[in-house]
Amino acid sequence: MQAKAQIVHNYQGMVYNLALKLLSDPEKAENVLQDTFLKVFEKLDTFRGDSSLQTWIYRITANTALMSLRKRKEEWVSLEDDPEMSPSSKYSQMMESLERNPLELLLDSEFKESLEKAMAELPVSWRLPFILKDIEGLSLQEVADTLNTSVPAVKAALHRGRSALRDKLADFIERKETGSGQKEISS
Amino acid sequence: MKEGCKPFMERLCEALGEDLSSPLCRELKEHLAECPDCSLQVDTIKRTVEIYRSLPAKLVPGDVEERLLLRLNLQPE
Repeated sequence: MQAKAQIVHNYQGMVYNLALKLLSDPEKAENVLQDTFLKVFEKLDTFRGDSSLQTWIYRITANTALMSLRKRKEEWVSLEDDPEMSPSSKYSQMMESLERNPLELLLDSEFKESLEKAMAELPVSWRLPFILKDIEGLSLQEVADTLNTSVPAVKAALHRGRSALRDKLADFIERKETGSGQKEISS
Repeated sequence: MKEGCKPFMERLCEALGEDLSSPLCRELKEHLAECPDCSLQVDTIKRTVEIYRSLPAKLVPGDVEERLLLRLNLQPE
């Protein structure tokens, strides 16, 4: 019992955060958290130590979260069209704003919320490669294996996911800058 | 190429599955060095990824942990 409690204590943060990122839904992330540890303790006898315990639990978490996502098939709709590119002026404004006050923006709770919202709104087929490759640091091949797809498909989804997130951030910054500009003018 | 771009190009080429000295990477570097629009595209994508990477991990909420321990028949510490 003591050892199990220690395992939960050590890895619940990793499991919960990975599930939350992949699912973008606290309630479903909690279900994955519970299901993951149930599987971990059910299979603990079969853990041979070929990988670290952390890696083993990480894989079980990813698989459990993916199974949960596959139940919601409608969210796997593949959007083949590339996101439309915004005008360059929007990206220039984004870069200027990020360079002018990077900390202020990152500490802004509204900005953090917009980041999470943008991620949650991303189609699953774009979100997963972005999280696994860009945030979690898996290789392209590992992402392809995890998602049971090809490396070129992962690259295409990564491009679309990154571009869509970038555009949502650029929109947020544009709205914020326009809003603050209006305040300055009216005050 | 700006200072700090080389490590980024390495990552970009790695993500594309290319070696830094490959013809595709050389072509990309040359184009980015002389095209402000493409450079802006790459820079904004790079910043977006950096911003998402910098988000701090969330703590497991107390009630979520409580329900987890209950489900696993474990006692809270």
